Amino acid sequence: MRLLRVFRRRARSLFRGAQVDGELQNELAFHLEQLTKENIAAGMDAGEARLAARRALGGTSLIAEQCRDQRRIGWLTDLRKDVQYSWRMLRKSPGFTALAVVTLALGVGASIAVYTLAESLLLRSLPYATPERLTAIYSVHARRGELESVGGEDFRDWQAANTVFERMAFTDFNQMTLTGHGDAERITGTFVSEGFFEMLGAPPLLGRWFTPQEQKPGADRVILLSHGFWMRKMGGRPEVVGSTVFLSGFPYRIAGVMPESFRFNSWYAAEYWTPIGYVNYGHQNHQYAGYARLKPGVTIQAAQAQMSEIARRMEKQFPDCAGWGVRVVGLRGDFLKEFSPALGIFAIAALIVLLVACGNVASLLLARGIGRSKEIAVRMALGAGRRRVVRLLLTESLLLSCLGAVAGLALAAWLIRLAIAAAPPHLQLGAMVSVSPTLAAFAVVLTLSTGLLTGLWPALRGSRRDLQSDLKESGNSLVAGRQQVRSLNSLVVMEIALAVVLLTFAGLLAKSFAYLLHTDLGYRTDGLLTFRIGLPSSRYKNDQARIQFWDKLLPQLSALPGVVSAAAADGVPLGGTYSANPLEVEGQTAPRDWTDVTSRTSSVTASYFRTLGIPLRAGRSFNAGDVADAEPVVIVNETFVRKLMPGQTPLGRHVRLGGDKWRRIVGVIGDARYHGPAQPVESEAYIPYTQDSILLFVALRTAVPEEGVFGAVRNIIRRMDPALPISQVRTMRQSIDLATAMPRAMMALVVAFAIVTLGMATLGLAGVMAYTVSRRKREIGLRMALGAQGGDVSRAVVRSAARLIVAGSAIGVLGAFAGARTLESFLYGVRPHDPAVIAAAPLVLAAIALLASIGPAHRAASVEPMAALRQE
Amino acid sequence: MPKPSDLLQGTLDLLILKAISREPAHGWGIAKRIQLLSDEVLSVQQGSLYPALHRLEQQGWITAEWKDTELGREAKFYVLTREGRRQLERELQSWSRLSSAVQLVLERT
Repeated sequence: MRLLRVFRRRARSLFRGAQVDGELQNELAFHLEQLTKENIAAGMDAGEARLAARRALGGTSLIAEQCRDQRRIGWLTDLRKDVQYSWRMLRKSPGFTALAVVTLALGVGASIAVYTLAESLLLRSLPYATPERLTAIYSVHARRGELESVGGEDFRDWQAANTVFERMAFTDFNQMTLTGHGDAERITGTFVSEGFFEMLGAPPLLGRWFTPQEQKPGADRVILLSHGFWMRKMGGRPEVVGSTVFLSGFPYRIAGVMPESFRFNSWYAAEYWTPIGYVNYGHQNHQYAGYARLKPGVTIQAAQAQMSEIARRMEKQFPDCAGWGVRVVGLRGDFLKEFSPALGIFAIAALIVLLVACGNVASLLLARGIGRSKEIAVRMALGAGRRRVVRLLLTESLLLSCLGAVAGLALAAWLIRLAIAAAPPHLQLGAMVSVSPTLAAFAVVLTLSTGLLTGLWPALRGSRRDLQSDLKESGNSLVAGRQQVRSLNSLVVMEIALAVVLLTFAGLLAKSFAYLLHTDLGYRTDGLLTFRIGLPSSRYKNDQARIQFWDKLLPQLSALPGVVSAAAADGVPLGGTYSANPLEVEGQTAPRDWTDVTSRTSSVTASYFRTLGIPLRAGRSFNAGDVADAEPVVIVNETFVRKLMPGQTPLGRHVRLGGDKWRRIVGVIGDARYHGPAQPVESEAYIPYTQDSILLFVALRTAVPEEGVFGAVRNIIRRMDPALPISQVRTMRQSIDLATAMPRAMMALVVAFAIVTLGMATLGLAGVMAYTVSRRKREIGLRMALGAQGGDVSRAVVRSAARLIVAGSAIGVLGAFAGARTLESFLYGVRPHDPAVIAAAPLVLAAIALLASIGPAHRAASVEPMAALRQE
Repeated sequence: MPKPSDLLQGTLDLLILKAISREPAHGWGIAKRIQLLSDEVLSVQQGSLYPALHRLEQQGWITAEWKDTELGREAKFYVLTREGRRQLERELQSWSRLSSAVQLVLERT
């Protein structure tokens, strides 16, 4: 109550100062009148009475001033004056102001963008009940130490044996064809094992979870929809819950809709969830993503200890489990392992930009402060205290940082939009980013500390002075103050060092990206179109029907004008499908760890290698003779030979997939990078499609731009079977671009930041050089009058610039050397301490920075000795 | 006439609060009332009266409104707020503690 009244008073004094003053004058006038009246009553005449009253009351303006002091808003009115004054000063030097504001905007904007992303991804809790108890479960191959997917059988045994988890569940990637809602469409979703949603504690928006009954084999045609899918395909109508939707030809009952905020660890955006059917793949299989919820009070370490114990028991029990362990990791960490390193780099880059921006503005302010020393000396001579002067100067830098922050917000919004576009779509980064109170607080604190960081030092320096000498000094001393120049120099050295660090990072990422682009993928990427068509098993029931379809389709496609050849396969590079199996080589009796003999297996039409441009190294390709009941054959790649049968002649030897029939190796093909440039080559074994007929992708080698032929391709397929969904229509170039989007975005961002930093550091150096030259004009004039040549003078200037560059670069190289390790997980084909990059970064900077110092050097050389000396 | 005693630091606030505790008064009235009630011993310097009023108002102890005086001219009348009344209690207590302490010292030496 009282606080409210006090607040209203202060507000009134602040905003209605004139009115309050008027009332005070009125009040005093009344007092004066009363006093005069009293004096008249005491017998004085009117004039005398008034004079006596005035005498008694004293100076009304003094009283008014004392009253004003009582209002306790002095600091605020002073602040207003300071702001107004600073604003005028900034407006008077628009060049300086614009430079400082833009510089600060870059630093503040980048930092706010990073913080927004970090907060959305790292700090906000996962949208499940007690998320800290959720974990991800991996199989881990003891010898290789790599985390692998879990197997269904392993998982069931873990579930039965452990006492640390409340619930466990696993998921699998799944795709089905949606019919009955417009064109047939391939949609992606997730198979979930029983209890998955209960484990997460994530209730649906509409409807309910699957009941235990619905998750029994045979009764499991139920589905939960994602919010996005429900809006897109069902128009967001709530009454669809309980109705039926046709997927891959089978009716699925819609059990419910998940909320928009629901998302789960996966490398794709799931549009539905459906119970996983039980298939016993044995203990060798590793294909599911496992998760578990810890019992209350159980730590991850305790869970890990028990699971390791269980895994050791299983190693003895099942031969296929030998050499395998279990790893339990927190769900959040698991979720972020892909992004936190990228965010870390982003944060380092933003911090460097911010620091260099602060350094740059600080040096600008410092230089300005030296130039303004006379004005400040006058202020102090007139009685301004040091604190008052510091406050005035700080107001100026705070005003700058506020202006910078406003511009920075726009930049941050733009950067965030860029990041959302570059992030993998399944992350749904756009939905996660939001403005929060902590974000606002961060922005305010950042802005104020930027203002303090840039302004405090220059302000303290600027206000620490010896009045006498400054008043005498005409702002054109013989030599610039040694100390002031030294502080400017150290700022520039810091900027150069940071710029070198960021340039090194940018260089490493750029070199790595160039490596990715120029890696030989093993197939020809230009003029290659791939798309996906899955034949529904409800209508293409057996091998014969499927083989017939492909035999009819492919000749029509390759007959199209512009198409060189057409092929089909169960997977194409970067198509997203993958299957691998352990293979047994005839005559190798020594038991080997099956993970060492696991190869990618693929079923392809005869034209596949020709279409993709994968060269044949030995033997023959598949041909029309490799029909279903002919001799089983296989073609392997060079890595297969190297890994599974080193030093042997592969042709004619036999291999088989576990339990399958023996196949004769008829050909060896070149290595191809199935997962794109960043991943290593795997051993591969290809089987003719007539002997394994489920194909999913078509590949076309074209002699014309790929997009040009697709219309005709679609028509042919429509004529054959109008209900077939065609999806993932991409040129191989597009697929590669997609696969390299993250490293590309990463590189682009760091390179952009590095260029900005380089620019700022260069400007900082040039500014300081220009400033020192202008301060030393008289000294230079004197030297020249004494016989120094223009060349000597400009060389001296360049030399002093070079000293700063060398010092900064040396520190920067050390910093880059120490920091480059953080980049390691983003580098392909480049080591973090790549000597060429580490040497090139300071050289590039030195070249540009030296160029920038030529201007000031030239100006120094063209000083007119007489004019400079007379200037005093 | 002896020169009126200077007011002890802090007692002016107490006197002002007390002076308007019965009924509202304007600055002039407060000064007069204090002078009258102290049998002309205490005289409030105008130079300190108005800043004090301002301070009390800023602190929320008193509030003011413009009203017509009996002479037909507008004047600023000060009133105690509820918090001001409580503040007056506190100040009275501390004053009586102080004055009795001073009294004790004077009696015992």
